[in-house]
Amino acid sequence: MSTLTPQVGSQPPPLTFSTSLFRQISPALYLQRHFLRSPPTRPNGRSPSQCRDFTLTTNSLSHAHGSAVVRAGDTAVVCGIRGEILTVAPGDDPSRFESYHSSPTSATHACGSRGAGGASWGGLIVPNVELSTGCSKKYPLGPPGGLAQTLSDQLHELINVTKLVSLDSLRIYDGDGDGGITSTTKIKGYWSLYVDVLCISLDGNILDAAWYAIVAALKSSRLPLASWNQTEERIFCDASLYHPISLRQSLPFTTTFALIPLPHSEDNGGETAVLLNDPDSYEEDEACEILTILSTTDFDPVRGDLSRLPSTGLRTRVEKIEKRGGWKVGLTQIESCTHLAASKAARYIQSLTKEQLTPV
Amino acid sequence: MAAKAPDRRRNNPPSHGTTPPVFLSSSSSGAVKPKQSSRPPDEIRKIFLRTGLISSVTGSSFLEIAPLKLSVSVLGPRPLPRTSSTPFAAQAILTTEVKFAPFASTVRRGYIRDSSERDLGSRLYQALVGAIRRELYPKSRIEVVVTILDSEDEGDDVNTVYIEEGKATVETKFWDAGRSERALGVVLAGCITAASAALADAGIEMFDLVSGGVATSFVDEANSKGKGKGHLVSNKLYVRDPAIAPPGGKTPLATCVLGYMAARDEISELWISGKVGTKNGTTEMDELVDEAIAAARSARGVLNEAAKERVQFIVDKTGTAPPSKGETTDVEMSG
Repeated sequence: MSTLTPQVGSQPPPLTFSTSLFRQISPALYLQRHFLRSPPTRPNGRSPSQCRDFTLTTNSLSHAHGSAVVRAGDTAVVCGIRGEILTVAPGDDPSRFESYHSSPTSATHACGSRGAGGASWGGLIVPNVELSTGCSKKYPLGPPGGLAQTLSDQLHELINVTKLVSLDSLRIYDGDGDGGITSTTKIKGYWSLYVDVLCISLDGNILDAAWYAIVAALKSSRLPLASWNQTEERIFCDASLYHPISLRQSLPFTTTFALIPLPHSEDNGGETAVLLNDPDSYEEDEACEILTILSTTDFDPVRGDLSRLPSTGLRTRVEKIEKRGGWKVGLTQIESCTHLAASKAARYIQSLTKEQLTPV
Repeated sequence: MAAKAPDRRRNNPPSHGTTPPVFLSSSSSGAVKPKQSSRPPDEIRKIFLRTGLISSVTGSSFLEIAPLKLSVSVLGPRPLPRTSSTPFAAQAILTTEVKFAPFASTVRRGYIRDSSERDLGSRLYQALVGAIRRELYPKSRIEVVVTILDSEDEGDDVNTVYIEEGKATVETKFWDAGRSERALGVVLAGCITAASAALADAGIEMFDLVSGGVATSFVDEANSKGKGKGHLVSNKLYVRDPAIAPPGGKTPLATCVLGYMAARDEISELWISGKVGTKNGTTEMDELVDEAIAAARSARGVLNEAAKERVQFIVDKTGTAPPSKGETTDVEMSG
């Protein structure tokens, strides 16, 4: 221990910390100082509008009907799709499986039992997110916590709202199942899709990664051809014939932004918040708001050129914007976010197409 | 799956209940033959092991052995919660958890851990608990979480119905008594190897790295069908790291899984299931255990390389040897 002798008349040395300590004890100030630099740079070295590079691998699992591994920065998720068969009993009314709206959404639970304090039975597509895999220090092991439940519900709603899977490919018909039959009386069963998302490593923005993994896994799924067997009176599958699950034409993708408040000062031109594309968990913890844009983009991965993306105006359609809280985000900011979402969606489409084309 | 009470915390399937797809095969002869591996019996499958892939936990590893894929993360050592009910712990409390992903096997598993997963967890605990220097971490806990993403099992055979003379018969082909033990044994051995790699990555002090090994003894099918006992033991085939399908014309006798510390020549966990007898004074169990140890030694080589690679990576990145990882490297050199 060194002893300090107070010096008379001179200024005491200011209290300073090393960068890593500063990062730990005052995250808000640490982030703000980064954004006040020019050009503004995030602690992870990215610019505010830059998203992390991601990788996609599909169908690497042997027991799933379709699977995808998505890794974006230090966030890694695995999505496995498994089809199971739901046999319609003679007295049943299959109409409740015929539309997305009959299955409960987060706002109005058709079954009503969740409102009554219990859980409800779901629709044909059953998404679940598992975070208690030791993916991060923050989330305890055991039954799903708040975040996992919220995510499962959000993804469930996204699937329903976007009508991602066309229900045609989930129906199982009587006999040979020729395409002309549409009468519901001929429907003997349905494919029920279990969409399980396991988070292997968590470093922020799990919604985007999980949604992309779900879309990619569904896109690469192959279900065995199932048909009703008259003599056995049950549904059998053919081990040699597989068919893809048909999804909607233009695939929707989500892009998430985090809103970080800035102190009001003249240095930053009066701006009071900064929008970060694809936040990591350090930034998420400090964010006052999360903005998620669900959009579809017209992008031809064969002819399109990703390097010229910002200049080529991508035709994009916003399907949903979710922003919780009341922080002011102006129209121009929303517009620039939409552009960023479009370019990210284009990148998603490109790597998905590349993955589909590569022979396994 | 029969409709039980719905899970309050998860999205649930339709209330009608769903069944896994059942395949129809016109004759049992057309069934899928088990794939014969070209691997010699004393060679284990190639192991892919990488540590430190998960940045937000203390230590992690990813292991891949042919179809088996698993990810391990180590949380801690972190302090025990300060509640009045927490007893004083002079040594670190180790918890191990093994969970199959719902899509990791042919029959979909639920999210609630079943008995085989709990069993694997407790065996993994046994294998690791003796190797960790727990007295160095008082009043803290270390959690080892294993997530199995893919595993080798029966494939679609279990769900195949064969039609013979117009009548459907459910046959479980290639099913034999030691099958599930063999499948679980390979998984457990992988868990042990990957978990000690993750513990080393976390910089937790250990006496030695534990590697897992598995071996199965087989006899000719003819011998197993109630002939003299002398024949039974005559030509035995030991297979290290056995595949799910037995070698042609052979019937499995016993499977041995162990956790082995090579530098200390100690077995930390031993699990033998099946029939082991005595031959000319030397026990067959010894032979089986020796085979499993040989498999564990081969896995140890991979473990050493992974740990070395990781330490090198850290040294290259920071320019200095990490203080906490020094111990594990030292141990490694003697092993």
